[in-house]
Amino acid sequence: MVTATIARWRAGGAARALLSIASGLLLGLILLSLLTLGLRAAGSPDALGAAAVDPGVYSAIAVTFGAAACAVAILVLLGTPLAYLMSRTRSRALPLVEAVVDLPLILPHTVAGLLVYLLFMRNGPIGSAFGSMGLTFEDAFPGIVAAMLFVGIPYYVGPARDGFAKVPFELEEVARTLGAGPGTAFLRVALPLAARECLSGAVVAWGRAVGEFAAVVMIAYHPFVISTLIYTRFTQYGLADTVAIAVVLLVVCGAVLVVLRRAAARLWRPDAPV
Amino acid sequence: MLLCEDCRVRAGDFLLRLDRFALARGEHCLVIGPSGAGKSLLLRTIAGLVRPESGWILLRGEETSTLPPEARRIGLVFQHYSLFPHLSVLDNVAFGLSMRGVGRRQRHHEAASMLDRLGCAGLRDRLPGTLSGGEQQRVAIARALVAGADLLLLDEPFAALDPGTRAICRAELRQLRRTLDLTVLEVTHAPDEAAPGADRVAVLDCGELVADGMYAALVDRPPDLRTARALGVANLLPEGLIEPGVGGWCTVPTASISIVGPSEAPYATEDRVLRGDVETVEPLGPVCRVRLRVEAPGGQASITGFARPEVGASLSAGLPACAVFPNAAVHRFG
Repeated sequence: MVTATIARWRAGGAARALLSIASGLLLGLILLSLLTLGLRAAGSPDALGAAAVDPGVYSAIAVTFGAAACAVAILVLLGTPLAYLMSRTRSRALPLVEAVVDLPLILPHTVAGLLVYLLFMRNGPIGSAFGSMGLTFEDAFPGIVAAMLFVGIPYYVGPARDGFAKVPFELEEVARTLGAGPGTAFLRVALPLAARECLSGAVVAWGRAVGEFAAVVMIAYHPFVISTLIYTRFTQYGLADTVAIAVVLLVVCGAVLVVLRRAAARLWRPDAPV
Repeated sequence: MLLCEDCRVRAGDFLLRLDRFALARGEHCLVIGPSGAGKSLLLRTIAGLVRPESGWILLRGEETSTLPPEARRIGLVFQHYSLFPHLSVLDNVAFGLSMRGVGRRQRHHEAASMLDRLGCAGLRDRLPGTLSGGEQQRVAIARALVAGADLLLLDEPFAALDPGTRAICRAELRQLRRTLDLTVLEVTHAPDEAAPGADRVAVLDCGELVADGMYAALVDRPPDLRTARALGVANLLPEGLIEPGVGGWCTVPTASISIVGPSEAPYATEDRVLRGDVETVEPLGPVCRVRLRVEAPGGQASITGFARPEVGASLSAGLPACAVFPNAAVHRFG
């Protein structure tokens, strides 16, 4: 690879070589971390075997994936109309709305967790309302969903808004003249054309939710999600145990991510050459 | 078919005012005017996509100003046709039928028949992105017609086509209009091309309907300065150029103007003579089209006329020349 890079320099492809180096460094960082993890895990095969059959690990995976799926489902349900409105509105208040939507991106996740806790704790404005219906968030599955939902908002709404913005409004207007009501025009024209960006945003939001720790742990230490489990095992049992669990989680999460990415890529793209 | 009365439509700071605008069944009316005159807003208002602040829109004798677009049976075709890119041609054309709850087999049958009628039978399984401009335009019209529209609103539908395809599409539209007794309201920036197939033109300027009539008559004898400007009439001159000291404006048809060299200008004649400098010379086979820049105490203007080829050959930019035209050809107004 080094020889090839040098050859490219000599051939005058300096820009291309620089690009290769920059890309290679980042990819290398991720691959090196995975390699290190794999080597560490290979050094303690007993711990890896134990982790592979540990019900606690699979319970955490189930809680994490389930909560992330619920969070993304709510996000899609509520975030899609918001993204659509943001893409179609020319209001002066739009930059403010965009800033509010993006806020969870720049907040430290502990602060996001604090906000979620303040809202959803038993005495919080939302927590108390749901509490009267018997639904609690503190140290409960719904709390995990709430935290994942909160931090996932910009990851879904942003791409979905960009997707809708690419759909010319004229298409919906034409659909209206052809007999479609506003809702039908949205469902039959705008949504299918923005589906790829929406799904892509949902996958990223889901991935973000799966990896969330700080915001989740602030409201729901229990039941364990993957990140809480890893942190707990690390503080209680040390590196060997944690590494083995991390390998199992990496394999499962990686497989799910690949499947979701491929599903998103298969969707029709309005800008694709036909 | 269509009657707009006392309509006021607001779009931001822009106000479209239509005191009265009517279309008879089967009529083809062009809407022309400068950019920003409100032409597209007029179409969108009639289609129901924009609701008027006040006034009435009667469609097929019924008041429709509060009726949503889906209930108006109006076909709208934009310049870029707005075919749904994720649907095949057949599904595009069948879209309106599916909105009316027509079964899949029936709507595909009807859509295929309409495509066949417009000579697009071979396109049914293609995606819109693979079609040429002319094909997309036919499919867009087929889609509007299958949905039951008897009033077609066309927003510069031929602007993106090459001249040859434009001519074919215009002929097809004429044929279709006759066969199906369609009423057509078409926004165009090429009235010269569209006028032969149309019954009349409506001229919009700054949100107001300033003239309504036959295109040739309006161009030759515009009723006022606004109409003349909105129509882009050639040889719009300050009258002071012809009659020193007189205010107002006039037009002279290009065909009535002969361009001659300064030495050929008649001295004693009933004709009018304007002296100026040549701006451009365009050889057009048996004649040359020449544009002069005329400046006089009464004003300044560009004036275009025709010259014999041998005269045109002797002229070039900057040289003096004369525009000669009969006094009777001058149309004064304002």
